[in-house]
Order: sequence, then C-alpha cells, then structure tokens
Amino acid sequence: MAVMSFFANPHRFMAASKWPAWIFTALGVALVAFGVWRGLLAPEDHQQDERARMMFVHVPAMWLSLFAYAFMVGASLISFVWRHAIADVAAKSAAPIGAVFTAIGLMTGSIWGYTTWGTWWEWGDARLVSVLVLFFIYLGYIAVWQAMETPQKAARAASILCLVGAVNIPIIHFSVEWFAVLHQQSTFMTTDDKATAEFKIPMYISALGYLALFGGLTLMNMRAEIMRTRAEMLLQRRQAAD
Amino acid sequence: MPSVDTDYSAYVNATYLIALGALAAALVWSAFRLLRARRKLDEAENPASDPHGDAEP
Repeated sequence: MAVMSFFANPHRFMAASKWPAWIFTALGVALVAFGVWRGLLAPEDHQQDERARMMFVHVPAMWLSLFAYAFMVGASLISFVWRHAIADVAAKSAAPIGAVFTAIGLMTGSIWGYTTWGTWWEWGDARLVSVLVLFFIYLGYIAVWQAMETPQKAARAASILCLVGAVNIPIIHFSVEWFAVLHQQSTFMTTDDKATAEFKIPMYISALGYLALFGGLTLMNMRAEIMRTRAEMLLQRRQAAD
Repeated sequence: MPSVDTDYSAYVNATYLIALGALAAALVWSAFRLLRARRKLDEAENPASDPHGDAEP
C-alpha cells in the first residue's frame, strides 16, 4: 500500500524510474542474446530433435504473454478501485509489449506446429484459439484507449475490458487439461519435468531476458506516456491563457 | 497430412528471427516514443526556445 501511494505521484515515479528503464532494457537485451546463443547450441532432443530449440523462443514468449496480461489485470484493478493514475499508465503501457510477446508465441508456435503436427493452425485446439483470443483482447484494449473521447473514460472502459478478459487466462492455462487438444501438456516446473540442465538453462535465461525486456520497455512507455500527458496539459493551459 | 522436410534448420532459424525482429521492433518503437515525448515536453516547458535554430536573430 505504501509503495502504491508513493508512486501515485508522477514526479516521484519519473525520478525513480529513469535508470531502471534503461538498466532493465540493457539487461533484457544481454540475457536474450545469451539465451539465443545457448538455445542454438543446445543438443538435439531424442524425441523432438532440433525442433526442441524452437521451445527456447516459444515457451518464454507464452509465459510473458500471460505474465503481461496478469500485470495489466493487477494494474487495472488498482486503477478501477483506487483511481490510481500511474496504474492506468502502467496497464496502458504494458499492453503493446504483451501483444508483441503473444504475437511471437503465436507465430513461433505455428511454425513448431507445422513441423510437428503438419498444420500451421488447428481451429479445434482450445490452447491455440484461447491464445488467439488473448491477442485480440490485447488489440481491443489498445483500441479502447484510442477510441474514447477522454482519458478518464478510456481508462475506465479499458480497465473493465481487461478485468473481463482475465477469464481467458485460466482457460489458456488449463485448456490442455480440460479439452482434447493437439497441444502437449505443460511439463516445465511440473512433477513430469524431465528436462535436463542443457534445456532448462537456455529456457530460463530467455525467460529472464524477456521478463527484463518487458520491465524495461513498459517503464519506457510509462515515462513516455507521462511526459506526453504533461506536455499536452501545458499546451492546453497555454492556449487557455492566450 | 502434408509432408514436412525433416531438415528443420530453416524453421528453427525462422522462429529465432521472428522473435528477435519483433523484440527489436518493440525496443526501437519504445525508445522513439520516449524521445518524441521528451522533445514534446521540452517544447511545452520552454516555448521561447527554438529547437531547430531557424528563428530570425
């Protein structure tokens, strides 16, 4: 609560976020580069041969697409209940980054699906379709911010959309258990996890890199949003004075 | 089921290129957005300044 109150002031947020935005971004770039290098050097899997290397890109992207949405749900809830200005900015700024991770997950998953199942897309697969719905929710959320007349109305409508869309998150997670799907069940960090360090290290490095990039880019976009809002406010004030 | 080439290198490389391209695009877009916002704020805070240097002396 104290942290939430502290960052309710945009000046304090701007002062505190300047270096973390660049540090997280630089860390993310370094970790993603290291993850790519380790991923491409990983040995072939006995079942999936070199196709297993696609997992080091696809799986962390899907983790981040869900994490980004969960972050937006938290921020939207804070915005909706407490009308916290920075929470609005946080959710709005995270949306395009979350959409990028979801797009990466969909495209790389489609390529892996083609090499494994022989099809780029399967409409009967609940995991694939629920992730596509998540992507459309991201686009809808971004569109709501653009479409409303005032930022206050947009924040309210976008928060409601985000909170309603949260119902899709457990559907994505449990779709492989609830429905008959082509998509394999989760294995990482479960009791069936038999992956060796050669596979886990690039996976976790990539995931950490994606997470750091998400943090850095979201902070950058939040700072840009606050600066843009302040500039528009100053210009409007000047026009009113003239 | 369509036949898929069993040499998967091109598919693996494509996934890495798509991910790196998308992340690079997100990074460049965010950095440009931040720079544009900073320039706009500077202009709003200092309306007398002439950022392009083309004003009459």
